[in-house]
Amino acid sequence: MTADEARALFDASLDGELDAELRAELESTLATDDELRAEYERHRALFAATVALGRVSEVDLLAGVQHKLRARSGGKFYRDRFAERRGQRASFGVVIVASAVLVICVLLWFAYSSGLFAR
Amino acid sequence: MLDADERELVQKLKARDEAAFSAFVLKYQERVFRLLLRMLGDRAEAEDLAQEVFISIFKSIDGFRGDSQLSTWVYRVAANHCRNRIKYLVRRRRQVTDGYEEGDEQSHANAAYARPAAPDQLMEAKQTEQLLQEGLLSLDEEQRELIVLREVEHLSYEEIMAITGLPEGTVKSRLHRARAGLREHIERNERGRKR
Repeated sequence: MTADEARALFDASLDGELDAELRAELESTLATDDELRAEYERHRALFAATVALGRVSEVDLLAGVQHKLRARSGGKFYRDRFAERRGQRASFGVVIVASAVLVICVLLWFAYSSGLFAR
Repeated sequence: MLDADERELVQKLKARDEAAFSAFVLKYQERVFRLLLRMLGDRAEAEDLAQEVFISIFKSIDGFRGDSQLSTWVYRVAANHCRNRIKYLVRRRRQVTDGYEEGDEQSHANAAYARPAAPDQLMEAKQTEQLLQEGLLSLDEEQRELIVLREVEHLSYEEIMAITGLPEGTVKSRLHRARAGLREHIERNERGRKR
């Protein structure tokens, strides 16, 4: 196996994809060529080091995603609970006022129909 | 392709179940963010884009047919967004390397070792991480994507083929060139430091 043929197998070797025969052939080539062996070791060390790239500090995207979805859907999704409570209070007030007006109207009607205003 | 839990999750997502979507974001945010951070090299940009990826998934989940794993589909959506963002950033001629992991001490600690490390070890790990990230950014976008999917996300060739839409031979040959490019960058840098 030439040095270039061996180099072409570096990745497959690191991926564990070489069959026993090719692996043995690569090993014997590396054993007879110190420079190539050093190159192989550097290649292996580099990809052991890429583990560092997989470690990133924690991230919390949820609040941002919810905020954007709420804004873009016009409040349809992830509705603001505080605003929702305020909204409920507001609608409750409207119901109270409407009920009071209705009761007053009914009382006035009874008063009118019983001739209270006729005198 | 999908297991029972994933099928149920997808059904809930298609019904726009907010609780299920929140759980989905928490489950996948780290993977999506890591892919984007390594592709863009800019934490703020990666966070912003990761949020857009999840919003896009929320809107387009009906298009997921279940013929691949959910994680593969999520990576595909993230990779597509990333390619578009890189094009946009290139158009703006922005230096994406600025601000990479800036002021993020915890990240450097995480990037070192699981066990408590001496300051010089932390410094070395930080330098290694930075050097590798610079090396990644020196690669072209396609090669970088393959390196990140394979070496950082540890995906199988089948998953990478499903995400990128490339045949196996192309994935392997591009990955080979990407690894060689990354190694060359590191060695050039080391030679520069020795001088």
